[in-house]
Amino acid sequence: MISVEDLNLRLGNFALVDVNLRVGRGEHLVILGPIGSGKTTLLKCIAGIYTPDSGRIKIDGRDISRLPPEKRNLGYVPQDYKLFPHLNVAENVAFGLKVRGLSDVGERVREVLELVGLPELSSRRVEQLSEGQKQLVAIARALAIKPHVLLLDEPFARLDSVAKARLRGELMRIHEQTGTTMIHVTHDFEAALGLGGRVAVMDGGRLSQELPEVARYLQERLGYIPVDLEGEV
Amino acid sequence: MKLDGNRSFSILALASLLALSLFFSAVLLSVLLYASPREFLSSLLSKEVQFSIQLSLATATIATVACMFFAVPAAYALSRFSFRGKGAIDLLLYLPIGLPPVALGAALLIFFGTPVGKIFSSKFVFEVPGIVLAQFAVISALATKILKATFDSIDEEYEAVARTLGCTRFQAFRRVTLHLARGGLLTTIAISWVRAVGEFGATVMLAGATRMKTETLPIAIYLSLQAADVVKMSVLIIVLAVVSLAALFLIQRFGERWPII
Repeated sequence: MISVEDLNLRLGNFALVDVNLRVGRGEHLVILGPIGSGKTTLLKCIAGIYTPDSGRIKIDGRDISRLPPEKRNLGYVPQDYKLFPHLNVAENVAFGLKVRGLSDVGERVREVLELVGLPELSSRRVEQLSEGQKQLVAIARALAIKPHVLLLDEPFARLDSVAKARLRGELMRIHEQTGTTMIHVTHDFEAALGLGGRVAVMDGGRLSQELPEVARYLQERLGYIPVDLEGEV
Repeated sequence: MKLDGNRSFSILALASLLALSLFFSAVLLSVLLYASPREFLSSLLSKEVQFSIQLSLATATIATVACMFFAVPAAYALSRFSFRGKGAIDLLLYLPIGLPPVALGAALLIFFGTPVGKIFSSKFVFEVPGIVLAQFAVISALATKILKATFDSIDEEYEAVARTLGCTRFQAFRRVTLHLARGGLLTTIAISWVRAVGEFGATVMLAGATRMKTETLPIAIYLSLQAADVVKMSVLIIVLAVVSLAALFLIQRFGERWPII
């Protein structure tokens, strides 16, 4: 289980304020919120890229708040993938395994590329991939290290509607097959609600996981309450 | 006939390019045709010219290696870290670029006259290591500035992703940033080396112009002019031009294939 307790961070004029979050093992949490609400900043705090001013981040009760990113074993997939352009697909996926000096890297790379449905692209250069393929390779790269939690930043942001629908299906399948805990932030309400995960909302640097609040927020933004949350307001 | 704006601009741009090319070709040609082939060969093979070629290549290579050793991490620190006094350091590094090399060499000479400088002065003043130091002083700030611009253009998030995958800050730099900076690194090496080979002002002030001792190619040109040996001077200019162009061509043509750490 991953938990965020009373996390605060000020970055210029923006601040994350008293963020509390609990995500159970194997759970898929979707954090919804408008652009600039602090979703990416929160993911970066969890990943260790930003150091919070106060608060704690725990994995299975162990405080990782002060650990550098390389010691957290969390998979982070940024919005624009950040695939390493000097490496091909297989080398990108193998990156974290090689850094760790693991054996049977090739086998794990094949396994993960099969999981994301791209085994035939292993020797392809990353600039030759479509946006959807890049997203899946970035997910494969993060999953290869068997992270405690997979952190996905706006995975649908750069995709057209067809690719978005395909990725939604792939994400649900990957989650089902691997049981990896996922925290997924997005401003795309429609895409996120189809994922079937638990929903939290974020606005102005504050996060809420309480169902009535989430339902109220969605009603304000969407004009209706999704079926799963009816009866909460 | 009336030319439209697009066409007249294209003609003006191409004419400017042609005029510049003709100007430099005419200058180079006048040097090339000055000496007869026999004079050229005999001067090229003379002990003094051979010495100045070897000294220039050796000192410029040492200065460039030393410069990159400092400039790469310094540029990375300027690009990535926030610290008090960063603006002042950034400004200070413009000084060797803006200052004439002869002034930089004179400043080094004054430094070697101070109590601290005197400890090292016998090793550098009017000696070969002085050439390397003068070249280093001229190229290091320039190299740092070019490399800083290169690192600035590389999104820090690549390093962030590499770190979440298990890299320390140094490993992320070595395995990712350095590869993404390859183009800028090669350009910096080429420009620094060529600039070091052609360095005159700071070198003549610090290392002096002693025949067969601190006689780099530019200093040999200066000494030939003093001796009114125009044939040798033309040969030295051609050698300098060929060495510089060859280095830039080789790095442009093959640099992308060279391994980075």
